[in-house]
Amino acid sequence: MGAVGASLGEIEAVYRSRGEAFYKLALARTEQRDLARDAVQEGFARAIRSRDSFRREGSLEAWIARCVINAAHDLVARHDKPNPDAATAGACHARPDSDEWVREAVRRLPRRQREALFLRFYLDFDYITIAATLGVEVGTVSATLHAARAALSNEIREVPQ
Amino acid sequence: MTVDAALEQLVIDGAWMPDWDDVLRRADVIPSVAAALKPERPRLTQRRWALVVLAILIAVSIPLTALAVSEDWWFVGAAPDPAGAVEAVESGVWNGVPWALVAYDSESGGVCYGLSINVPQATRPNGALSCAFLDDGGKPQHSLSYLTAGSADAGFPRYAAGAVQADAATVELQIADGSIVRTQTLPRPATLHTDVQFFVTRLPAGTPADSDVTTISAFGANGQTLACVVVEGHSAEDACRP
Repeated sequence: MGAVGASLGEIEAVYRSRGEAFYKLALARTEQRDLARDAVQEGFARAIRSRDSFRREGSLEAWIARCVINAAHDLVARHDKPNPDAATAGACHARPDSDEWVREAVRRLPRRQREALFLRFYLDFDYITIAATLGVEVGTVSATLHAARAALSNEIREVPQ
Repeated sequence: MTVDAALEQLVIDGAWMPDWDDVLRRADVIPSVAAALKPERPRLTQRRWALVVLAILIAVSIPLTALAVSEDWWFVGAAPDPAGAVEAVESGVWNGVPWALVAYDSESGGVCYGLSINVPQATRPNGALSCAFLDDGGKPQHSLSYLTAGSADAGFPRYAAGAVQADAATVELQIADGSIVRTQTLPRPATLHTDVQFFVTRLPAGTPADSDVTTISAFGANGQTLACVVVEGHSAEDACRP
């Protein structure tokens, strides 16, 4: 049986080398800088607290990404931020080229599609790592990402120029 | 707009400011660090503290004659005696190794400071210590004291720590490869009588120990140069900037 658990040094190394990418992931998820920072800090703190349970069956980054995503989800729920997982009424008054327009388009994606897209874009995870992070089969990642990009592209294409 | 541009737009105003110590506090690691750094009773017959680097890099030399044991710290017996309590200025964990920047007023009238680190395999905390009298005396090199140390064997990074006059806000370290490391100063503990600020920062990985830092400068809140030293072994070409 191989060694299990992650060391504090290993987690710190991920934080120092990949913290900014995790922050972008959290910012895209929470839509607020303060919440995003909290999500990263809390996500890494959770990883430290439960580091003995890391099984080394996947990458440490994937495992920490799960912690950060969960922390972001909890923070969004706690702060009564409009839940991106809930159906949205649409940004009736948003300018078509505004941040809010883009956010609305991203919010309308199903949660798994959105998270897969974020993991691919902000963390540059490969399909295997995305699958490990989301707890899905590797074979479904490609289809999930394709669907997410197609849906988002369609929304953006609808923007009047 | 492309999908990639849209995703970039979501995070365009995100400025990431890492704070590893905050993570450790949230994970309740730092409180246990403080406990781990609490020294055991000194065993003065065992001085094989391989990592101990006593750096007396000061403007005015300190007589090392007062060696009475009044505290349990690893440096007692090898440095000026504390005149009061040894206080923690800052603590953290680097590469998984807990450390604390500690400082005390010395009985010889100066201030001593250093990093106490707790390497897992070591039998007790150890580290590096320096003592100084900070008196500008019209010469900026007299108002900043520093030490550099580290332990590759223990997986502990090279670092610089020091004391500087009280109105310093930032400290800038020029590295031999041309890069610059900046750090904010840390206030002295309330019980410390010597009116100084402190600093501690890890140095970039991979810089050779004998040539990493060339100059150290301290700046006030308005950016004015308050202190500057050329690190021993470096030439006048590395002199402090005006």
